[in-house]
Order: sequence, then structure tokens, then C-alpha cells
Amino acid sequence: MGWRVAGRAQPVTLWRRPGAISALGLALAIGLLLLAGGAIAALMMAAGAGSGGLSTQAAAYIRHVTLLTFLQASLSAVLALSVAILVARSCWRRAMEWRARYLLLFSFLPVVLPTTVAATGLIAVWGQSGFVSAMLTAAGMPPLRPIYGLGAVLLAHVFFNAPLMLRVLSGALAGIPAAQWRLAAQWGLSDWQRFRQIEWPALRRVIPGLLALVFLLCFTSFSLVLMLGGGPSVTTLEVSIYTALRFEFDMALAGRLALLQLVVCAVIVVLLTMVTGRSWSGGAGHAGRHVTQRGDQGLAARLTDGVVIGGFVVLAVVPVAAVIWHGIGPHLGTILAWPALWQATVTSLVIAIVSGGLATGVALVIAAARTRRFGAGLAVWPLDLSISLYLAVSAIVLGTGLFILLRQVADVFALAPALVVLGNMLVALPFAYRVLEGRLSSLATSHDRLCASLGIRGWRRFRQVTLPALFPELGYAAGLSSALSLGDLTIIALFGSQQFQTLPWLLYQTMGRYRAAEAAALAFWILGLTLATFAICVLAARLAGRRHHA
Amino acid sequence: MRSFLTILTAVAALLLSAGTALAADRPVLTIYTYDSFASEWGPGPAVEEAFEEGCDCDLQFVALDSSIGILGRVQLEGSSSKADIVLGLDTNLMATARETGLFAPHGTKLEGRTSLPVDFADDMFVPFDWGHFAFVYNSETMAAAPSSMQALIDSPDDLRIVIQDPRTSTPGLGLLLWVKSVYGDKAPKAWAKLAPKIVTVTKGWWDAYSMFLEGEADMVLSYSTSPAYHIVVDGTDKYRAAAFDEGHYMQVEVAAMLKSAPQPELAADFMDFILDDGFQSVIPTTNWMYPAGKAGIPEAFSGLITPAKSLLFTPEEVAQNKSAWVGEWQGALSQ
Repeated sequence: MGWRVAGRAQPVTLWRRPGAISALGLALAIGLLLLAGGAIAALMMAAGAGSGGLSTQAAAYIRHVTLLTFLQASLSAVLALSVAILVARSCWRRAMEWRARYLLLFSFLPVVLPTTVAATGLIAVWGQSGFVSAMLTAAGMPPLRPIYGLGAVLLAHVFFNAPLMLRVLSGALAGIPAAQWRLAAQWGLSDWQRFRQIEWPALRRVIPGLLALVFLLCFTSFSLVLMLGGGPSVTTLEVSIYTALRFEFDMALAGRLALLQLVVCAVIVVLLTMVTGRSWSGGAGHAGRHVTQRGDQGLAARLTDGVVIGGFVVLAVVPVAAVIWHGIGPHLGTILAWPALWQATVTSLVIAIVSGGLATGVALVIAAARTRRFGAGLAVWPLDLSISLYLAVSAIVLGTGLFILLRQVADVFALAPALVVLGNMLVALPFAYRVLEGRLSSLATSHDRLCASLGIRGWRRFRQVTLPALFPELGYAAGLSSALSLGDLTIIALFGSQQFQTLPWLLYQTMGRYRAAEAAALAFWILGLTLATFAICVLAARLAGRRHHA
Repeated sequence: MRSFLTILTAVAALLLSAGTALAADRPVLTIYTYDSFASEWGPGPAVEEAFEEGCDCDLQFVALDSSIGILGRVQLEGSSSKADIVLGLDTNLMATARETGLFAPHGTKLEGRTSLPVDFADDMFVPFDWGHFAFVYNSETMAAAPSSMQALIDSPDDLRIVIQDPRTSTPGLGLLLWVKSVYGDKAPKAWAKLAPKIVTVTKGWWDAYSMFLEGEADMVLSYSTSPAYHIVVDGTDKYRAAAFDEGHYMQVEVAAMLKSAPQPELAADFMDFILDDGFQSVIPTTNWMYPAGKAGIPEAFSGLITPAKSLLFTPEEVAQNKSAWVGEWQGALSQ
């Protein structure tokens, strides 16, 4: 792509030579592809090494688990969407009120909230000795049944995904031109008519992508199902892979299930990229102008919105509040005296920082290489593929592949620290990449002409022009990937042991022992560390950016 | 990038060395066992102290989160395993374990040293304790417990029980075999009828028992000897084991040494030590089981139920049928 720059006779091709960064990016991408390829090859070999064909019993089991996972993921996605649409509409109607705005701000939390912490909070609210049961008993009613099972898993999935959907749907509603709202107000459209004529066309554009994304997240759900599923009746393919590998040591079954999972996820990822551009990655959106509609101030509308928003608060906010409420107490002192806590804290922080830093670094190099190769008209598909592959290769599939691959040459449990870092880094990579790549390509478009005319290029351009503008995204990517690693219960479930524990693993064990008070304190500790890690990354990047500008 | 990799390697090395740096001079005997055995409340600390008195060595327990997981772990590690001994398998797993070819004969004389209710003669496994599986309940919140497996299965579905996974936990496997020995081919039907009462299936015994004590279930699969713990430690007899008319499945817990043991002499010494008083005398009041050797049984055990009939499959029967029976169980529970 050449730009004709005023004042010069020759067309200036900005990235005629792709340069060192492109080579490095390409090398990293090839490394990532080889790694995934190696893991998949190991799975295929393990799957083939099984004693011939499947027994009918095993085949029936695999069918059953696949069906159950489909059902669960579909239900989760549809439920979360229904909740999110209701709440998004109510919030939009009450956009002028501060509470609704805080709720939207809060809806960011599930992105970084560790699953173990969420499970603790959900049990504190919906468990047999939880908040809701206590209210029921006080009102003279019987307490809730034990929550373990499909109900608990759906609840947890709605808890995690409805806020995510809410953000995107709110953005879509805010993006409707104010003129349409004014017309609706003039014509006095009823609530239902407004929804059909004005809101639905806007929502419809983001819904397929949202559904596909949440379906993918719930289809690959592991730790929530492990913690809340309550045994073999509720499972996902991911959990079955884990039990086959770590419970039954059945490499052939684990390999087969992992390949099945891989194929399904790959199909969903392809569908996801087909139905969406980048719509689902949209942020909270900038609140557009709100035009008061007929009936908005009426008692019925206020009541409905109150119930909807109140219900959402119980669903999404109260569990987090419960973790804080139960967590701050004398038991915080108890757990702070555990040597295991400090060991796990150090381990978790080191893993989070190293894998978060690595994910950001690798994402940055590949994103920079992509921008540059794109500018030079070179193929970028190996770079794209190397990243999106890790959306389809879930943590469990990857870990299982690595496990099978490495056990032939080394002691997997001795390598555990390095494997956990590697696994977490790969899982965070697509998210970090998405954040950085979008910003880098838009920066390239806006800076290309200027830099070319000033003759700033290469490393100098990166340091002086690109980096300062990129700091916020770097901080966000590092914070996000560190927080994800800090909360991970998936990779550690494969490679962890009593000798190598992280904080979520310690919490999972403590929950298993039903030491509720200690578990709550531990959940609070993890929540605090996660938020602090995320905040420090974001703030440090902001500070660094500011210093650069000064 | 390079500095990241350097940090990564350094961290990995640091974490690895931390575990081994402690006892560099004395030879280390490594024993893989299940979590509750190695915990501060289990037999681990007392056994370690007693054995270390007679050797210039450092006994280290590696706690795994379930009993069957011990076997899987050494299978995964193969001959590169650091373990000298595995402790916490049971008779049901003996044939399977023998087939792996990972274990070595113990060379210990068992004859005349055991007090098991069954004949036990094996050149590879040494028994360390035994007991009967039983459902334990709180007599203060549950006035009458079911008096048979059938009565349990026929109980209304609001009875909440918690059990262990037969793929990871020897009690879980024990219950599977218990139901199988009572119902035979009709076991899947029995499981399907039991399923609605199962609150959750845990990975190991400890998780299930903790859940029961927290009041999240009415009954838990444990041992007929579990109430003795509450009598001795908590001073209460409110926890009882339900006696079942059909009889109770029995468990003999065993240990074995690995062919690849890094410390074969120490391992052989320990295998012999298992039936000594130093090991056996701590079993009743720490692992809350009957000692396999000739050790005294505390007073608190006298009030416990004594099953009229003991049920037990041979190790070979279990090895042959385990995967089919576990498949049946899985199928019945996931309806």
C-alpha cells in the first residue's frame, strides 16, 4: 500500500522492508503453531493408541457428555441473553439515574473475577446455609435445596456472562441515534412497539456474536462445572477430559475427548468470526442522549425497572458483596498465619506476572508484525491463525496435549511451574492480542503519513510515536492477562499437586473441606490481589504514558 | 523476551529446589499417600517420628488428593518416580496395581503378625489397617437411620447423602462394590434410585466427610469406625454408623514398595515397620480404622456397630470388572 505524500515526487511505500519485528513476529507465530500442532499430534497419537474401537459403553458416554455440554451451553447463553436484554433496557431507561450507571461500571468486574471467588460468593448467597436460605427460613419457609448440579452451573454462567452481554447491549442501545428516540416519543410508541421498531434492530446486530461467544465460553467451562457440578451427572467435555486424564489415567479417552472438543470449538470460532466483525468486543459504549419516553416515569415502568435492576443486583452484585462481607473477619487472620497461604500467594503472583508479561510481550510483537506486514502488503494469515488457534484450543485441551507430549520425555510434575506459566500465557494471548492489535492498526493508519513525512521509522518510531499512544492498551492487556492467570483453576488442576499450589487451587481445596469461613477469607484475599494486580498494571501504564508525554 | 525467559527458568528452578533443599544430607524416604493420612490430624506425623527414631533418614510424605490417585500418579511417572513406597491402596486395587509391573516384593514376614478378619498372604502388599464401610449420620438431626441398603435406596428423595467418586477414592470404589455385591445385575437400577439423594460426588473421603460435618448432607459414606473419632476427640456420641442388614463391604488398606525405589533398603525397612507397634498403635486414634497388626484397640471402639456379614470381592474379580462396573455407575448417575 503506497501513500502519495505531498511535496514528494515518489510514492512512499512505508513498510517496504518488513524488518526485524516482522521476522520476530513470524518466528513467534510459527513457534505457537508448532506448539499447538505438537499438542494436537500428541492427542491424536494418544487417541489412536487406545485399544482399537470404542466400546459401546464408552461411545454412549461420549455422546451423552457432548449432548449435555451442548444443552448446558445453549441454555446458559439464552438465559444470560434474556437477563441481559431485560437489564440493558431498564438501565437505558434509567440512564440518567446514578444507580444504573454504577451498575454498568460494575458489570466490568466479572471479566477479571476468578471463578473460585465467584463460586464462593454464589454458595454464600444460594447455598444451604447462604443468604437466600436464611431469608427463607426467617420467613418460615424451608431453605433451598443443595445448589450443586445443573442449576448451580447455569446460575454461575449467567452470573459471569450476563454482565458481559449487558455491556455490549447497553453500547448497542446507546448507539441508536437520538432522532429515533425523539420520533418514538412524538409518536407515543408503546413499550413493545419501541422494542420491536427501534431497539431490536440495534440489538439484533450484536446478538448472534454475543450468543456464539457466550456459547463458546460455557461450552468450554471447566472450573465452575468442577466446583458446582456435583459429580458425574453434570459435566462438560472439558471436565470429562480432566477426569479421564487425572482420575482414570486413560490417555486414549482423554485424547479422543480433547479432539472432539477441539473440533467443536474450531467450528464455533469460525462461526464467531463469520457472524461478527468486532461488534462483540465493543466496550460499554458512550452513553448517547436519552430521550424520555411515554410511560417512563409511570409507576408501572418504575416498578418493573426497579424489580429488574434489583434482581440483577442480587444476581451479579450480592455474591461479590458476600465474598467481601464474609471475607473480612477473624478468619482473615487465621489464613494469614498459614504458611501454605504465603507460599501459594508468592507462587500465584509470580505465575501471574510472568505469564501476563509474556502474553503481553508476545501479543505486542505479533500485533506489531501484523501491522507492518499488512502495511507492506504481505500475508498476515500465519499471524492471525497462530492467535485465533488458541481460542479454539481450550486450556484443558492444550494442557492435556502438553501433558501427554511431555510425559514421554520428562517428569510432568517437576515441570509444573513452567507448564502452568506457559499454559496461562497461551490462554491469555488471544485477549491481549485483541486489545493491542486493534489499537496498533488504528495508530498505524493515523500516524503513517505523518511519520513518513518526518522520516521517523523503525525502532525510533515505535519508541517515540507508537509506544506513548499504546501505553493504556499495554497496561490493560497486561492487567487482564495477569488477572486471568491469577484466577486460573484450569491449568493448575492439570498440573497442580500438594507440593505446587496456587491460590485458586488452595481455595478449591479449602472449599472441598467445607471450611466455609476460611474459604471466604481466602476468596476475599484472592479478589483483593486480583483487583490490585489489574489496577496496578493499568495505573502504571497510565503513569508511564503521562511521563512520556511530559 | 530473553529476560522473561531467564526469569521463567529461574523461578522454575527456585520452586523446584525449595522442596528438596531441606534435607540434603540424610537419605530421604518418599512415601506417596492420600491427604488425610499425611495431614497433621492423621497418622503421618506420629508414623514419621517413630520410623525416624530407628533410622538416620528423613521420611517425607507426599500427600495426593485422593487414594486411587496415588496409583495413577506412579503410573504416570513410571520408573522415573521419586516415590519409594505407596501407602493407601486397598485390596480392590491390588491386582490392578500388580499388573502395572511397577511394584517389588516386600520381603516382609506377614505370618503371625496380622490380626485381620480375612486371610491375607501376599508377597507384594503389606496391610496396614482395615475397616467396614458404613453410612454415618447425626443422630440428633436424624432420629432413625435406614437399617439396610434397600431401606436407604427406598428413602424419600429429600434425604441428602454424599459419596465419593469410585474412580478416585477407595471408599467410593468400596460403595460401588458394596452395591454390586448386594444387587448384582440390578446394581444400575439401585444406583438410579439412589441418584436423586446424592448431593454431590467428591474426589476423596475427606471432602465428603467435611461436607457432612458442615451440615450439607444427612449421611456420608465413611467407615463403621468413624464415630469413634467424635467420641474420643469431640466427646460426643451423636454421630453414628448405620448398620445394614445385607452386610457391609470391607476394606483392607495396603502399602507397597516400588521396583524403582531410589532408597530400596530404607523402603524395605519401612515395609517391615508397618506391622510394628510404632506404626500400628497410632492407627486406631489417628486413621480411625482397626489396626492390621497386633495392637490394642481403644475403649471408644467397643460401642461401635459390628457388621454381621462382611462383603469382599477378590482383587482379581475387581480388576476384571472395574471399568465395566464404573461405566454402569456413570451411566446410572447421569440419567
